[in-house]
Amino acid sequence: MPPSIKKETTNKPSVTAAVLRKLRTIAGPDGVRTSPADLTAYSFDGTSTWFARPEAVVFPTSAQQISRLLMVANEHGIPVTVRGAGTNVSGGSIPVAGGIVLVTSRMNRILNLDAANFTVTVEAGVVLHDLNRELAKKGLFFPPDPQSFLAATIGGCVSENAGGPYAVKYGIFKHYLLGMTVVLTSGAIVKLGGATVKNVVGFDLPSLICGSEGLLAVITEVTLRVQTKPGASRTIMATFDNIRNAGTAVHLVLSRGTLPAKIELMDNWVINRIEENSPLGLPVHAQAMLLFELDGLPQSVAIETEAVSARCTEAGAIAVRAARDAKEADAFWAARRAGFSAVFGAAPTILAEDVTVPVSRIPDFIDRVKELSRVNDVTIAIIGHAGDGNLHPSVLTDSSDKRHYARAQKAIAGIFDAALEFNGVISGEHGIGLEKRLFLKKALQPEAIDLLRNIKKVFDPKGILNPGKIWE
Amino acid sequence: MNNNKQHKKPERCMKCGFCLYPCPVYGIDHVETHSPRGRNVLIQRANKLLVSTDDPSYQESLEYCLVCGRCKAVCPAKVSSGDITQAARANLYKNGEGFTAAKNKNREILKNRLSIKRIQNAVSGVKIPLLPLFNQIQRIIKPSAGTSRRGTVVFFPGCVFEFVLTDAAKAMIHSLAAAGFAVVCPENITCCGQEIWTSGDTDTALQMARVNIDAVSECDAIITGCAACGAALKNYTLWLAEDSAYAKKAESFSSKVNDYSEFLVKMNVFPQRASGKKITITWHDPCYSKFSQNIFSEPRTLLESLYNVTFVEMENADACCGEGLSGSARENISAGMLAKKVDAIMQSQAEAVVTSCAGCITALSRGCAQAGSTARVMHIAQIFDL
Repeated sequence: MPPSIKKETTNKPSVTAAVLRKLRTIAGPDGVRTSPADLTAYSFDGTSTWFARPEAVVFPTSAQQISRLLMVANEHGIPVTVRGAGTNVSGGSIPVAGGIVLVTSRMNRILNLDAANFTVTVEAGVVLHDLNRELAKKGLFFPPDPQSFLAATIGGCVSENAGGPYAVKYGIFKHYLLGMTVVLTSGAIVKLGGATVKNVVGFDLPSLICGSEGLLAVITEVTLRVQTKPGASRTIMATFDNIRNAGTAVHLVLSRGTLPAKIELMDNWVINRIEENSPLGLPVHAQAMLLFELDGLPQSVAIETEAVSARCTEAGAIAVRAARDAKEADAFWAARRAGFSAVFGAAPTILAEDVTVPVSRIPDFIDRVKELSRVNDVTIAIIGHAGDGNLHPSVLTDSSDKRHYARAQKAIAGIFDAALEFNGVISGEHGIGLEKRLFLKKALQPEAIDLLRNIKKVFDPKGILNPGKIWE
Repeated sequence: MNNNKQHKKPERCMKCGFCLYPCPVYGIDHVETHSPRGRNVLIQRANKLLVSTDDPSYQESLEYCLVCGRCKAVCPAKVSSGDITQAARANLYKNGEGFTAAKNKNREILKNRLSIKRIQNAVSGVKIPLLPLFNQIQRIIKPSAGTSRRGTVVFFPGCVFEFVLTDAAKAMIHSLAAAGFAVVCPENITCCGQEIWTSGDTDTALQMARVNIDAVSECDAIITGCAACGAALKNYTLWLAEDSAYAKKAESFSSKVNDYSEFLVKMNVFPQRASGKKITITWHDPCYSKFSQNIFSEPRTLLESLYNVTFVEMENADACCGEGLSGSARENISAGMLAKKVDAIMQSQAEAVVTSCAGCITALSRGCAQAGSTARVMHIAQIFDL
């Protein structure tokens, strides 16, 4: 383990020729890749600047293979970094200590869809979008919707306890996790949890693994709870000339008996990008836009649409528009995606954060972000899940411009301080990984961090699984 | 193809991974090195000299791109990874060892058009007719007797339709004549240059473009029946944008290019089958038709207007057939992709699968034959004779 982790690291080799032969015997000749191009292709993830080369990339197709692979790695003390699609944005998939990258993407079977009991069991490498496509055939859906769903794997989502816009009404991955099968570094293949919602048999081990970012065990199978897809949905767009009014609108909606499926907030920067890319006729001086989605029975959706529209007007919205039909609703959501995507063309390096504050503090937090943007002279775009206080301020910068990058880092530190000051957290969805390692001690007491270290020792005494992540 | 330079910079890739979803190659082996995102990172690092372009594994990773455009369609930052890969390949042709030999082989086609026959013999599994197209028919075909004259079109067969699938070419020409068009097949055309361009030999591709532009004189439209050719011919504007002598001519040329189905629907021509025999057919969307030219509804409009034909959509009609890969990628990936297509064709229970790309016809014919399927594979023009 290197004492300090630089953005681009090289390590002392630990995968010898003899070990490589063992890996090939276990995973098959097609299951191990070591060419320079392969190692480069597995050195990055969804973060902008982290890069570390593994020594071998392995593609197991069964829990038994993973068991034997881990036993070999454990015997020789070789680091193992598990990877689904590597879409995470906290550096969780970066093999900073070298060693083996263990890719789960070839374990992509849906094993059992039990529609009568509303459960589904999948291999860890199933892509979330593929799961929902399969569920849709039976009128079901899996609510948690991290926006990486086109590529993210179930194993990865569970490891990061992912969530998305649907969280305000439907919750996040841990709320749907019933059971799993994991492989420990000893090689033991262990079933945790079960297939029922109510299950209190010993400590809640699946929940411990959920959000453990690949540090405790390798997930091979997951059993999830699914739901019936609601019959009707409606989208409402509201624009505001100041952020506080948008915050008031959210509060009024939530406190008067309506629970929208999604409440998404966009700031003035994003509004302007929407008007540039897929114009909706929004006022370009508007300081905030809220997109609500309501779902349920047609009758309740109709009532809730009126209620939400009225609350927004009450809160001082400049304009409130309920989409007339599915086509217009799609256009609203596509515009939101286009507006946010514009962030990624706007600067060479984007530092996208993922803080969460209590819902009532959203306006204060956004004011603070604007101040940080002014003081540090950097552009910060804000998009967020207003319903649960999870906001994504994105700092636009350029890692090759040292001075600008330093100012961007300062703004980021200010963002974390603000989140903690307002009784929030530094990561709502993305995890700690590498990106927020240095901020962990601001968020957790030393005793809590010790608990993390000690639990890790129980699962992984030699510390081979995803070393260098979460804590220093 | 878009002309926006920003979208062709690999640094623009934010590594979100959305491109992994539609990529037909990644869908087979789940190897990041064979994905648009993986290549964007490799090429970016090669541009910064952090990766050596001489490294065989780097060169091999470039082989795995179909340049189909599915990744660009789903990319939030609109990165054109296919163009990025093509530019990286072009770099190898300029600087890499062993690429001079490849370039010389490509140039042969310019020197001697008939060298295509040798290449086709090696590549296709389709029975090659003894006579090339223009030993079977005239180059100038008058509109059929009894039709009102609608104009003059140039027909660009493309190498495979000219030397291998000549029946399909004849069917296209006859249907155009039957609709009242005079059809002219210019003498001095050469290969459209699509595969040459895509593989990275941009110099030879541009030379081919200039030859084709010079060979075509006044006409109302340039018709091609091969989606790959069509995509190339429509791109001559882009290819020759920096060529002061040819830029305007290329623009005029490209603006006249029509895919066969596209043209028929535009001109309101709906040929009918001669036979009244009932038949079930399905359509395969070539990548170069749907993703490069946005043509997928016109063929269906034509097929659905046919009497005594039941049109069924196969599952994943727009999935790639795999023929567009070469080298290691062809060895490792193409068969898997073709197998999925053949499964879908057989599941559809169609008696004939219709499409509009020479490569696709070659692959699907081979795949159906190997799987023992009785489904006939043909160009859309040939369905009117069935």
